[in-house]
Amino acid sequence: MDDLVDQLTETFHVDPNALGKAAEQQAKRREEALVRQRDSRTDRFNRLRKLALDEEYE
Amino acid sequence: IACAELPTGLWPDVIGILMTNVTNVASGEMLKESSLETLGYVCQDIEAKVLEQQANDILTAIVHGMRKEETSIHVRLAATNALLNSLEFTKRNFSNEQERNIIMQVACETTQSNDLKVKVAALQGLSRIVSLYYGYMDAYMANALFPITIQAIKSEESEVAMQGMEFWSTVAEVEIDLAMEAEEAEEKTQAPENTSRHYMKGACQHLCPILLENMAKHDDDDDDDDWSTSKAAGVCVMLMAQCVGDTILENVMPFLHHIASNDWKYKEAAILAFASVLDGPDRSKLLPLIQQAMPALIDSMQHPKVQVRDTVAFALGRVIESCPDIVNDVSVLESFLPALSTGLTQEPRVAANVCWALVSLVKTAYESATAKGTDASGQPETFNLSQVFGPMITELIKVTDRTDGNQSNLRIAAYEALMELINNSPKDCYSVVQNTTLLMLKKLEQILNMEAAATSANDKAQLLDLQALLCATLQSVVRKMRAEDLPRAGEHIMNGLLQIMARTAVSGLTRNVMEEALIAVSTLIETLGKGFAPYMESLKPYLLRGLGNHEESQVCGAAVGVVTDLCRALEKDIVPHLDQIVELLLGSLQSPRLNRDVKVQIISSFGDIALAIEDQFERYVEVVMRVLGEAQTAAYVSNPDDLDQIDYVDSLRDAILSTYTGIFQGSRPADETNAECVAKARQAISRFAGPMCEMITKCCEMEPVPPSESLMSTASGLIGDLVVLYGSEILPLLNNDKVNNMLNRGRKGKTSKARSVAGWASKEIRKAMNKGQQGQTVDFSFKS
Repeated sequence: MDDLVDQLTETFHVDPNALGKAAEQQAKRREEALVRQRDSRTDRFNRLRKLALDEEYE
Repeated sequence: IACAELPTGLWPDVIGILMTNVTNVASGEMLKESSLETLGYVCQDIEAKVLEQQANDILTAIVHGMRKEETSIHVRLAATNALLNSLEFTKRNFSNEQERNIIMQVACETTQSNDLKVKVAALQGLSRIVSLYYGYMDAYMANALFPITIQAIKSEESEVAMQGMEFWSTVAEVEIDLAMEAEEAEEKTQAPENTSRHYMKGACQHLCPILLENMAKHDDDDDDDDWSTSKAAGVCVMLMAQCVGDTILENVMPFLHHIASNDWKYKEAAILAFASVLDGPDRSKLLPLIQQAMPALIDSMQHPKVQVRDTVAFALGRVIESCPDIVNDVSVLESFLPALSTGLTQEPRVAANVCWALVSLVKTAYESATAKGTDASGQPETFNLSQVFGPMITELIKVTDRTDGNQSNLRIAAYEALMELINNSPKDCYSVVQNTTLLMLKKLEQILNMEAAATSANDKAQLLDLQALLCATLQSVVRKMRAEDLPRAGEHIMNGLLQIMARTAVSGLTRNVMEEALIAVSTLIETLGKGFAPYMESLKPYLLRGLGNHEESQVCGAAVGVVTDLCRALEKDIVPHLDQIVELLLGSLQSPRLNRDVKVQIISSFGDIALAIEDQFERYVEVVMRVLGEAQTAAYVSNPDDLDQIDYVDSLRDAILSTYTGIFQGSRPADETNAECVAKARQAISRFAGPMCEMITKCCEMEPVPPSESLMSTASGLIGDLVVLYGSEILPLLNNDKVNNMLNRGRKGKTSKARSVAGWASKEIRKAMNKGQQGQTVDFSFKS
């Protein structure tokens, strides 16, 4: 950590690819958050419907 | 101008004029070249169907310009580039054998040009032709395409060689898709629409030796990030392996003895070849190969050349992905783990590959342990890596502190590995999760203190990235935390996040930080539930600021996500904060700058609010219904070819129906057996029933595009809800062909969720019909 502090006080190069990769991973987390929110919404609806989802109708 | 005018029927003669410029014997070189370039640009930018009628004129000009009799290289190059752009709308010409022969003849002849640019463009054209018109290639493959591309791959000119490889990579991709299509058709006991001609299988034995030789062609100072002949050859071999399966092994095996070579280039090529063929052949055939190669691979982790070690680290990751059983072999692990540990201290590119290999290793070990059984938490008690898990995390944390961590994605790879390791840790590694949480919080504090030292824009950018990564890591640890530790740890985490948000808000430079911090807050809300309430006041300024941030849609989207999670966690306790939140949400919907996907998210959040605060939603109902009405009008597909639009409209419809469902569920009878309660709910919801049914019917339409599985599921849910509450009275609005057809489709859906919700709704309709016939009163009128 101390080395990093020293390093950060000097100018150094930012790898543009690293930013691309970071953006990609962040997009993945964003998507996961949205899926989680959507799933908990429908799960809640189905719980209120007392609908057991492992039960197949028909 | 042509692209603007042609679709509306204006300037109909422009293509004819350009063609004549090219075919007229009196035209000079410049006129021909610029006319062909213009055609090329028009073809590139215009929607294919606009030019279909004029494909003949365009092709005439192009073929004329590409002929070998054409002496100007400039004209031939412009014509060849125009061909590349025109291929999509020349379907009709390709289906006509005579015309196809002419196009193929000039396309193939042009690859023999002495000019490098023309040759490369012509070879690109062949790749495009094979991807678009694979089904017509039989007549040309053996006699022309195969010899031309083999000759290209053997070329000393790297651009030519890479284009030759690109052709075969394309063939492999087409055939992989066709194999999947055949599999799907077989599942449905139907014949596939298109069939594979298995060109790759036939070409494999001829292509492999040349590609493998190419993989050993390195310059000593090859940059890791540059695309090169050896990398293109590696990708081609990998795709070939996926395409031909076991057949690849006999063709690659002879080359693998180079793993022991003293020539680093051959050694590296052999290791890469080994790694590239792991995805394709049957696992039972791979295991002996892997066992044989492992000792040499692990030794090579000490090789003096960084390129070799880099490839070994990549290969080790691939070995685990393709042969997960290997994590259960203790003797393999004993040699594997020290090699990975050594790799973590090597050059950034090697260490970054080791990070990804560690992710594969831990994920695989976790899945293997989970498959053996878990308790209700879904987590296994222990796994094969439990003993080394703590040291692994410690080493990864050291990597995140490396001063060269900004090279080769290393710091990001190390943080991502850290997160995956935490996500995939069994119960007996919980103390490591606790320690990591403390460490992350400490790091966060240190980084916040470092801000003052950072003066240049680059330093600040690096620090912001670090803060974003730490917030992301906190999301992982929070998910893994035990209920008894959450309140205490949550307090520290929330304080850390608040500090980050405070700094970000002041500096105005949010980059990724604000979004990651808000997602971390969401995770905390979800895990703490009502226990989050004490933080509401301190969070509020940042939440409101995020909701109003139209410049950075992702920040606004994350803030809307926080609202959704707050509704579920706090329920009615969110009421005191809602006036401000709803006002900002409504404002954001009006903003022309905000991304439309976030607007979809906002619409769904109204449903979450309605469900959370039940009858108190009355305060917002009028304005929300107006928003839904407007959204309903906007949610239609005007161009069935526009896939983005289709997705957007589907998600918007899904959001509208979700919100109706939230409003419905928020007003549903508190006690379904109490007639008074039920009557009150029926009365309260009746004013929405008209628009709800209208929207449902719209979503059930199969034209111009059918609803997605998710939309069918949401629509089915609301149909069921309405029928349960109103019985046969609602059937005139819902029991029609469109709705029944959609429910039928839903019952045969791919996901069990869609199937069971659609099945339930159908059953409720049948029940209501039977009751209706028994003479129930039907005197309810729905206001639209």
